Amino acid sequence: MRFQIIDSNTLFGTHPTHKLDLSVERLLRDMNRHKIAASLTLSTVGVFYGYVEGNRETLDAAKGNKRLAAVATVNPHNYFGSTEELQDLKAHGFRIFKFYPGEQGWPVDSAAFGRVLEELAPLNMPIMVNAVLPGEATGIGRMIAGYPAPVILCSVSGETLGEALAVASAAQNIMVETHELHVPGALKLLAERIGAKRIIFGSGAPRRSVASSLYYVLHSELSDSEKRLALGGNIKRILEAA
Amino acid sequence: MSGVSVRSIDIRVSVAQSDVVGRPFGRDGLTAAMEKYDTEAAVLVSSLAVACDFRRGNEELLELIHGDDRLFGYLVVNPNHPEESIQHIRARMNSPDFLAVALFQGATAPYPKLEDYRDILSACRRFAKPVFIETVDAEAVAEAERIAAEFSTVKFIFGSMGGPDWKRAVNSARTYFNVYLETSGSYDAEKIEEAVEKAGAHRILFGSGLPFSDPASILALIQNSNISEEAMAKILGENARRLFDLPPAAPTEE
Repeated sequence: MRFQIIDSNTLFGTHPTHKLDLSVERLLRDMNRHKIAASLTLSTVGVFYGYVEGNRETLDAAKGNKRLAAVATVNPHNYFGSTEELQDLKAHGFRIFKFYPGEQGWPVDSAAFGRVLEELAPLNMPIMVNAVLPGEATGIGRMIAGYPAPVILCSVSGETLGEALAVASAAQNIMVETHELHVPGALKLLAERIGAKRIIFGSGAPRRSVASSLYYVLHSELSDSEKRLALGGNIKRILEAA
Repeated sequence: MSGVSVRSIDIRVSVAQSDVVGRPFGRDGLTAAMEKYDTEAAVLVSSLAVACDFRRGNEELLELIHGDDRLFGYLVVNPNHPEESIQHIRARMNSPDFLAVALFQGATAPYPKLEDYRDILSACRRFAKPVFIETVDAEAVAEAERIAAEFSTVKFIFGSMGGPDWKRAVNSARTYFNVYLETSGSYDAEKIEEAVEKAGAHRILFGSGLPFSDPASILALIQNSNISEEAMAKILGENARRLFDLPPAAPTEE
């Protein structure tokens, strides 16, 4: 069975703490090797240095290759802009935003994050948020109450699966990304409890192994139709609606 | 892209009442997983022994593995009970069921420490079997290195190979000839290639972390790494066979 695979979680650029090849060329090689149709990606500059420069680099990379979908980012604690600034990002082609509380050192219940969410809400903008530590998914769940667009919890692991499931059960717009989920049975459990329409494949490439993340989904107990949704159908639907 | 059907020896499987999502995981769950991933043999550790009661856990494990020529065990010891741990080692480590002593807990730190285990490790030496040390991060690796340096005639397996700090564990294996690396712990793309390049394929052993981690993920990482077939065969089974002195593989039916 062939699936149209869209990788929702990749980065490119230079990693500040790891000596790794995170080049766009490497990302594209990984995509070719594993027959990945498209990847959502953003520059490490936007995560670790400055989101304005990072978003510019991300747009340039996406303009250079149609298989890359640009993901915008904002560090809420360095954000002093306005709705117009965010509207401008949407006008430039960004269809989704991603947030990095752990990497950037801000708590998920930060008022600054709340303000960014308030300004993104009228744009109906889907968002992704890293929820690495226990308690973060719960905090995100509280912060996005009433948010009108899909919210994807990224980096959910075996340690935080129960919490993510509880949060997603309480809010229909919350989805779960898979790259840190290597737990047997987790995907089937998610499909049974919140539906396969709310599972989003991501690899964490090029730092994390695409093969590990992909084979975890391919060898899971999901049916082929559920795998089709998780591996690409869901994120495609989200981006088309944004 | 490689599949995940190469016959392997999995040296990192936990025995638990249930898996992470609450499904029963006893002998049946283990057997089903071994069939799914074509696992020739597995070395098991009792989750009960690691998390709470090493006496009961080891006994329950022995019941499970005894008489099954595909299943072997780690004998978990507890540094808070050094004399009883040594008694356990003397009573059990002559048995072919137990292939290694396993250190998971620390008495004074969240990882095994040399000072806590010195007497226990002295008791291990006479059995000429390896010792498994769980190393989930750089601190644990640093302490495991101290242990490997002091007990230089004992072979040590660094479980989880340092977790996210696997580069630190690879450096340990490069420095200490009695250190081996077990592959579960993280899924970084370069992990296996770099470990093979710096420490050598003969020092790396496949472990999945089942039932807390799906073997599909780590098998895919190993089999999609840019290493030779010879290196892959060593990692997936030959090294375990040699290190644990296991019998040769039975011929497979076509």
